[in-house]
Amino acid sequence: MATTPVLETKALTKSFGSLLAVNEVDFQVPVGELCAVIGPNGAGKTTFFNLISGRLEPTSGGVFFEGEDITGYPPHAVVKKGVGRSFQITNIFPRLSVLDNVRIAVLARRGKTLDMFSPIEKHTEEQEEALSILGEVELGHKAHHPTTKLGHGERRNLELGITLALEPRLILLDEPTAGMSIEETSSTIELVKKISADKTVVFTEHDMSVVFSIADRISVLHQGSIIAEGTPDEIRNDDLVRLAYLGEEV
Amino acid sequence: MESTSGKKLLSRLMERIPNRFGVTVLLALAVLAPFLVQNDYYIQLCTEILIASLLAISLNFLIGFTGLVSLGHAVYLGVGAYAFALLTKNVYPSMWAGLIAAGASCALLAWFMGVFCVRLAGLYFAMLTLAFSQVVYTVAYYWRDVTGGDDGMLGIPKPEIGIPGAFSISLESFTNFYYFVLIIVTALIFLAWKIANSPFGRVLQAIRENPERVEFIGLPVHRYKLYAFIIAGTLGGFAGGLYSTFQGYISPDLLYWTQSGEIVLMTILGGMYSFLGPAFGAGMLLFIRDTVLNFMEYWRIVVGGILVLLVLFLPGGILGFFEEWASRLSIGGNDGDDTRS
Amino acid sequence: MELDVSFWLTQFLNGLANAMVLFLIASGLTILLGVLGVLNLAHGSFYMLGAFLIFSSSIIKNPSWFWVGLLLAPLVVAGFGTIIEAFCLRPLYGRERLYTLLLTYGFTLILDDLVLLIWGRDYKSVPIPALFEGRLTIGDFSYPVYFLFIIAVGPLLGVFLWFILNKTNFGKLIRAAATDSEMLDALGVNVNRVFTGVFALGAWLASLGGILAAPMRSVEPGMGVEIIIESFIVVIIGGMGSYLGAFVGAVLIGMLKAFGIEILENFAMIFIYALVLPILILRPRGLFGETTI
Repeated sequence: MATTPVLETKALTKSFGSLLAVNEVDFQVPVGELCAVIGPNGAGKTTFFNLISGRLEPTSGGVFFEGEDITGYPPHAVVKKGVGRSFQITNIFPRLSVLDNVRIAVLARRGKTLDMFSPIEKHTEEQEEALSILGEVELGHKAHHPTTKLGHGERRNLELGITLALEPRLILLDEPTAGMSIEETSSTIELVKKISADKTVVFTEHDMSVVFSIADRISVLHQGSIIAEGTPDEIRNDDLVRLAYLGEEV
Repeated sequence: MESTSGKKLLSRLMERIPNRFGVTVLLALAVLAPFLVQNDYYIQLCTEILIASLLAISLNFLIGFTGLVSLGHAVYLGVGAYAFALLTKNVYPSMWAGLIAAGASCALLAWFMGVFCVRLAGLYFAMLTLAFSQVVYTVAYYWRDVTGGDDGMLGIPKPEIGIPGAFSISLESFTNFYYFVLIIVTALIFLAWKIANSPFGRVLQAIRENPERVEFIGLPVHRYKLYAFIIAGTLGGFAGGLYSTFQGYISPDLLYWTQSGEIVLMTILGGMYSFLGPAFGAGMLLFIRDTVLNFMEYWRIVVGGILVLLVLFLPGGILGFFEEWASRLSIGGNDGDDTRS
Repeated sequence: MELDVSFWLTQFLNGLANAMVLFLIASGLTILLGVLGVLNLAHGSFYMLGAFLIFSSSIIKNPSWFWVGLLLAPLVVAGFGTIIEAFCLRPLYGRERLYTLLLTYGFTLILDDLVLLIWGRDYKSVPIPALFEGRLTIGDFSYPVYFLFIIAVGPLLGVFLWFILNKTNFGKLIRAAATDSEMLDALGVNVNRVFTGVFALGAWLASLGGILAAPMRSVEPGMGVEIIIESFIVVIIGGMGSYLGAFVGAVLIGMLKAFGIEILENFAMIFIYALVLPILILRPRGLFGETTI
């Protein structure tokens, strides 16, 4: 444990009134891992993601990215540090073209979005990069379509493309396969695997077969606390987890 | 599938040609207008349409681009107009100084109001802009010493332009003034068009579509909204300055909320998702008003009726509808179908 | 000194009477916002219509004109509101808010000019109904009876509205629709009918406000677009959707105007904005915004 973890939370807590949504969570993600956070509905997964990505401010505790304290940073500042996020509900720009969805993110990363006077098409480098990212998420052939023409799975891929365009060192994926058909799910899993080859990824997922097949490590959230952490095998055999969660799954 | 690339090429051609072509025709018409109408009254109407076009396009930076419905845009028309009048009447009668005063005062005002407004969205944003503009209206209405109160200000000059000692052009003739306004408005609309098609402009559209996601691609949404607010206000201020010298008379009515409503109306009439739509709407509104006023004074019934029908049946606006229709023709499929939803 | 007291009392009562009219308009506006999410710019026009309709019935030389008008005019305006809601507003609920805003603005334009067309541009005055003519005099203090009538009617209608919203079936449906109209729809309730009812109720209240205000003020075509701004302010202060808030906001504005005029003649409205802007900026949901209706 000599290297600093990419992401670390220390006693991270969020309460809504009397409800403790996230309760003193200590969580670490080492460099390069594909890490799953699971737990039954209402366990606090999304709140946990919101705390890390700056959408919510924690009640107490801290969030550290590559050793740096980013607690309470607004979302755009967290992104600038190198944390990308995708959402459970598809979160794209519907009336922009597929290309523009990604291009905007590339331009944002490169700090060119305050350019008010040169046409967006003149930024050819950014355009090339956006196109190559679209290729990665298998949307290269639809770059010039309106996003309204995309299917559900394609929209999720586009959203992933937007997140990738930010070149984050850590990616948070909230339910990447939610609402997908079986074929779409398997292609998205391949995509997640590909991404995680050179990036650190934390994801939540309701589909247990996905979680156990691709995650390096799994953390189990239950009622706002982490009740178990370990490799898929360790989690599978953890009595507490079986009781709290997998009891009805397996 | 083989025809896809051909189709794409065709559709891109069709996208570009009508735009270039349309803009060229429009400009040619605008330049020739004084010769075509041959009538001082209509030259003045054309001048007013130009100014209203700038005003509507400036508002569309907020409505169509950033997705912020402002109900207080008349504040810039009014403040720009008063700034021009106060400067040229009381300080120094210069057209350029007056216009710069109009733009600069509105930039400052927009900056100040924007700091508060951009933190809100939706109805709350609309209400706050409305409230701010009504404050300014109240001040203009009661601060008689400076603004002349509800009597307004009379005798606003049309200072001549040129280089002192070298040459000068009088703007007292309707035609000269028309061309002066045409040049200023075209330049500013061109500037607005540049901004709209820049990376910055695309970010504004992204904010309209999904502000939260913009925050999550690492951009501070409030700041971008503020910039849009200031751009809209400044351009609106120039329109106000031009209006002031054009009419030669201004009153607090310019700041009243119904005036703001009219600017929104122009924007929607033409189509808020098309760049020149608001200008088209401005032309239509003023033309309809003028035409109806020849028959009866109740032009608002006609315009209100059109607005109701438009909202119900053509929410994309009139120019927006034609553009969509053209793009559907060019793509040859049903690509345009869901863009309206 | 004694003179002073009666002067301030007069101001206070004037403020209260104006507040009651404002409350009638703002309460409808705020319920519309809470239930339909519609900022109805035409609401001031309903108020104006009420005032002009009572003017027309005052022409009838029969002592009962006021009561006939009071009964019929709001029903006419409510019927008008029903038509607007059912045929024009209803198709827009799924769309962006901008469109409903524009639609109601369109009706503002139409109604304003329609009034101009029918009744003309000049100011009109409506006589005080015979029953409330004269002044009430206690010692040195005397005050118009009609204003006292309005001050009494306001709270009565307030209680009536409270009863409708809290004790009747319709009220329960309205409040349920404000919280979750989709759920209500799923339960088999005809939500559209509830919405239409709310809109009609709002129009009824606004026109009633116009009728009651008519004998106190001059009746003129611009009165609608003027009152709507004050009503917005009341709604903002009270919190959108808050019925109690509308009452408190109306009284506050009535008082500020009545006494503000004494302190700084022309800038009474400035006091009001000085109150409203910080609320909008810091607490956009208003003082009572948490509780819907």
